[in-house]
Amino acid sequence: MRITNKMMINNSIYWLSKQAERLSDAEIVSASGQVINKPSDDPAGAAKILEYRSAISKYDQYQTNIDQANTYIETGENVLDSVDSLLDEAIDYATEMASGAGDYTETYLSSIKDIYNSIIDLANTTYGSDYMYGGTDTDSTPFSDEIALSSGSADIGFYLGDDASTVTFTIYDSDGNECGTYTTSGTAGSNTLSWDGSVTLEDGTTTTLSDGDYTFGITASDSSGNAIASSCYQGDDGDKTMYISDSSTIKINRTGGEIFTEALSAISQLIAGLETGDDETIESCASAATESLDTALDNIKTERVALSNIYASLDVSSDRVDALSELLSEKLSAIETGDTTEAAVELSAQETAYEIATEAAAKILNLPKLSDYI
Amino acid sequence: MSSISSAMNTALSALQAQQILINVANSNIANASTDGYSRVTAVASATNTSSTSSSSYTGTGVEVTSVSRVSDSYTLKQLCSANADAGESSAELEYLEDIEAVFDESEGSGLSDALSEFFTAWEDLANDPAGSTERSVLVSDAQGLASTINEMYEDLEDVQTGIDDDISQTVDDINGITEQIADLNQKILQATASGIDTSTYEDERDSLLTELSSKVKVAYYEDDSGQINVQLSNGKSLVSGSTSHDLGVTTNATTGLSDVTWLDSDGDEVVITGSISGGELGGELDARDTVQDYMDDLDALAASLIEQVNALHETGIDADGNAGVAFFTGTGASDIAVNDSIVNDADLVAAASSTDSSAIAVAIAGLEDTKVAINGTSATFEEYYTSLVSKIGTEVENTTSSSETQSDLVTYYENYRESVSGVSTDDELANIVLYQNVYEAAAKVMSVLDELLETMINI
Repeated sequence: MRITNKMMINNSIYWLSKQAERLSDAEIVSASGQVINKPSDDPAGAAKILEYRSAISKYDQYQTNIDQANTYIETGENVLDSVDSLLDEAIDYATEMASGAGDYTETYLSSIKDIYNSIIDLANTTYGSDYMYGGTDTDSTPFSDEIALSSGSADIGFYLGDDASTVTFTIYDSDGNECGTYTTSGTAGSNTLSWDGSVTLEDGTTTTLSDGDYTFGITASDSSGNAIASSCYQGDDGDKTMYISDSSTIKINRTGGEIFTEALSAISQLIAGLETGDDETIESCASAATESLDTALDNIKTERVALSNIYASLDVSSDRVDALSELLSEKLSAIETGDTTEAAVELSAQETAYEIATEAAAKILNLPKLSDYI
Repeated sequence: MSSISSAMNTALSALQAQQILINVANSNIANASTDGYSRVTAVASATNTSSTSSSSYTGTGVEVTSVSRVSDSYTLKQLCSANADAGESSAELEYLEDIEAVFDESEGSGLSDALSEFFTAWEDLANDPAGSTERSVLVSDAQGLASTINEMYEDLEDVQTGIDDDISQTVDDINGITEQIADLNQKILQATASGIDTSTYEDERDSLLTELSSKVKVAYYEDDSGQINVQLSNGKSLVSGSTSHDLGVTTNATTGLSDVTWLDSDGDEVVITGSISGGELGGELDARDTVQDYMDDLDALAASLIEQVNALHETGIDADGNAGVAFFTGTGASDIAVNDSIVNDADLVAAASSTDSSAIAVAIAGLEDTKVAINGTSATFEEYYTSLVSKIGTEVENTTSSSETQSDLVTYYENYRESVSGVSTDDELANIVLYQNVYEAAAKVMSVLDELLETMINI
């Protein structure tokens, strides 16, 4: 091939600029500390980076969920522990009352009313801004016996331990005077009564109450007259679900009705007995309530076991999520930053190559020409 | 006597011929660095012998019979074809890199991040469905996601509009070049007729052909009169003799983008956008289609996001106990936005179902890992977006390497052409030394003849 001066210069320029480009690539890798600075540097690697980043952020979220669930469960455990002790206390009273209350009727009444109110308070515990035991409805007080009758109607929530053919509401006015009763039926679980304000008086006549604030007491029985546990639960049967991994969720029971109705119902029974002031009634109520209180205590214990099971499984999940997140972080940094030693070696290799290219270009530009000798 | 005077004529022809040869070499050296210059060679040949008899053969001297450009039309054709490919891939690469910049996630902020944050906000809300902080964080993350999608779409639109402007520019460039080629054709025709040297015009025309082929793929041939006719690869004539046909640009009524047109002999515009290939123009048209693909892909992602999130949200119940409204408004990437009423009142976020306070929030958060139908494929939003990032990455990577190969090929043909047509100052100098020697010798002969003549006269 015939070589001309222009060819030599063109070639020098071509290789110089090519070498400069390679040097600049190596410099970017070293300076940024990242092997992949744009998707085209390594399309598959860039895709992996996105995948790992979003997986890591997901694991972080699972960890947050798990931490939250843990706190939630610990709070729940504290509530149930207190209810547990209160029920133990109530059982002691009931056992004593089974052999008569005598002169202590009033003392018993106030103690047991205290227990009732304490359990209501505990069942109305809030976590953050939410009621813990109101099911889906986290805004309204789960256990409340207040009724606001307005325009001749009011919705009353209640909870039944089993299907009941007779559910009797005793309505009291704001001064605590009984205004009459209202009878309906209901199914096991949460119920809502759309009440029109009508009550049946003691003499069997019916009247409609005027708008205003009232409170209510509730009792229920099946068709054979057996008492059914009931409570003034305003919430629903919803649970709380949390994602703790891609595929698994945990459910935390929030249905206060299910957890507390048996206990509240049994204690109401004691109170009703004591309020009659009649020793015989007190004794029979107390012995019936003892049985219900045992069942209630069992319910609470079962719930506590369920919580501790979730707690244990959360622990395992937390460890797993931590391990996975760490593993992915390592992989991510391996892809993103590559091997720093390799980058440093590459940079110095390209620097040397560039030096050689410039030297060669300088030599070519200074090559002797025929004119030097003629 | 006659033999001395004829010998003097022979010596004179040698002196004259060497002067022409030195002039040619001189002119070559002068143009050693001129772009597109083809070196010129002069052919000297012995003049006809004039002999009275074959036994007394003597030469009559030398004359320069032709001065011609050294050029290789085959190499020029190869160079033009390589130029068309290189022009196409380098133009395409430029715009693909613009698209790539829109999808660049190397800093960790982008759509992928915005998607993650959006779904994370739903999970946080699921943990505390009544929390007002969680609600407002969700609304602002959702706005962030929507505006990220809007911005990416707008950026792609900007790239597309930029390409459209460049297409008009390239069409103008092409028209300028074809006009010059037609003009040179005319000059060459006239010069040839009057016997004037056309090398300079031909060099210029070759350069223009090379430049034209880097703008758009063309085919050309030289007719009997030495004029070059140029056609687009679809057969539409750009230069025919001394006439050039202009390309034009009109706005496509459907796409709102530019169409390339060609004026037929009746002066009517014929749309030829689809049949243009190669060169910068071909690369620009290809890249514009590619941008459209990515815009459509992003659109499909946004449409699916709107559809899936709204479908779940509308079955939910908000914090005031009302049925959920549409979470996102809009139909695609250009107009996706968080419903104004939700922006104004975060309580309208429907996190609950009728039985569970956080069911809808959990379900929407769960969309992050759910394969949904997007653009005929089934993928999670993240997977779909990641596939776009890796697709543009691969396209840029492939185009970079093909662009490098093409430009190497151009360099190879340029070198080859230079090897044939370029000036080597060493060659020319060596020749000049030779011509100088011959000149000196012929002058010596002249002086000897002069002495001979003087001797004769002094007899």
